[in-house]
Amino acid sequence: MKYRGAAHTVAVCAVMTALLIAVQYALGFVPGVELVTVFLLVFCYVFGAKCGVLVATAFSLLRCFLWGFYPNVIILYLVYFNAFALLFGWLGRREKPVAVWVCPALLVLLAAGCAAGAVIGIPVSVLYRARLTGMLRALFGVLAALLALYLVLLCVGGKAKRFGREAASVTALAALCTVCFTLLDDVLTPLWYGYTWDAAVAYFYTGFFSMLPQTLCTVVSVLLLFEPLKRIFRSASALGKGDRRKKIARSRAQTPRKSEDDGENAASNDGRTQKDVV
Amino acid sequence: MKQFKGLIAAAAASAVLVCGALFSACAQDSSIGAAKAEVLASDTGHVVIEVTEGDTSKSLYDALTVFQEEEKLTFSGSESEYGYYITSVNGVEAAGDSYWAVYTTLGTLDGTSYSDAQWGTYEYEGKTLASASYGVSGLPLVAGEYYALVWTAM
Repeated sequence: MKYRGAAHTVAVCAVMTALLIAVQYALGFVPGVELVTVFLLVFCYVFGAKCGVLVATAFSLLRCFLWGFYPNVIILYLVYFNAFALLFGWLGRREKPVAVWVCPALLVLLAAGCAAGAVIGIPVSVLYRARLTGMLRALFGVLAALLALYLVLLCVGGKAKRFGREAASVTALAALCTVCFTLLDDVLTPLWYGYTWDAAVAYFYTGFFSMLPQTLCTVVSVLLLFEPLKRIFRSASALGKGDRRKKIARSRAQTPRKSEDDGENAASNDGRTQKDVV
Repeated sequence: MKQFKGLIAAAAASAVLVCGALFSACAQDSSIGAAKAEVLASDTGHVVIEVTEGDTSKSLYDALTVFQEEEKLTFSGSESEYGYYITSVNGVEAAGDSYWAVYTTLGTLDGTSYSDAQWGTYEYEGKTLASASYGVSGLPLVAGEYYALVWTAM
């Protein structure tokens, strides 16, 4: 029983690691587009922090065979993706949904950052300023739209509210994590290579060219793919649990009941109770 | 006498035309928008460019494109989210253990730093060029500044 559970975990983690590397490789040629975040996020959400940490570590190390072994990048990936896996693994296993205020607070924070950047101006090359301002405005627009959608869903109620709230909250957290990824890189890389303060500041500003499109991509991809991917991963998760459920049902069926004429748990003609059948 | 004067005038006019043609042939400056730049050196190891008249809406990449059209150099590369990445200059490809480094004398302009000597320097005829903070498409053409592409082994 234990062996089968471990084998299933290893198999699922191996397939997910391969999928993440394939996704990153396939989209590596498209600047600013990445789907690793949404795939790993939903995987951790469904399979939990333990599987998420396994995949995050394996992915961080194995991807180096394709992109090269750079110590600062390995440290960045190991720290960031493991923290990411712990956060979303924990979120997925929580019984209650994310607090109502979390999503709007995160969205307002990120949108305010974009607006401030667009108004004040980021000191990058004069040739890139217009493009960067355009990206900041686009991200601000998407975040504002997401906030409006969230508020509408809160008013609508029902199933849409439940699913929409969950997707919007996870999207806002994913966007914040993507921003944190670049900020972590802005600290780790200058420290590792011993940059001067000026060089570190220049590195920080050029980081916006990757951070903005990636955050935009994260917001759109997580919002659109969170629910469908969750269903796919849940069905994959249920496949592994199927055997275990059957065994539990069989052992329960073989266990003598206290009272066979118990109204709630009435025995069927093959010894199973109503709950086991369900 | 009249014929002699006409001959002198024709010779003078011819001399002016020839001198003008020679002068324009000798002038190395190329126009890139409102900017003018000159290729000071171009071989398989390095390319050095001097900007004589600036235009900050044009980049070093624009200048290289004009020079390539004028057959003063050749280059190729690929687009990335950080701009154009040069992989080959004058037929010399940057392999796994080498790359084409970009250097410039352009330091800080309007609060933005365009180069940092910490990442390396390159000397050219008494000028010290520092390693650029941006790629060729992020460096504006500023009057009086030097720009260099240098083949560098890691």
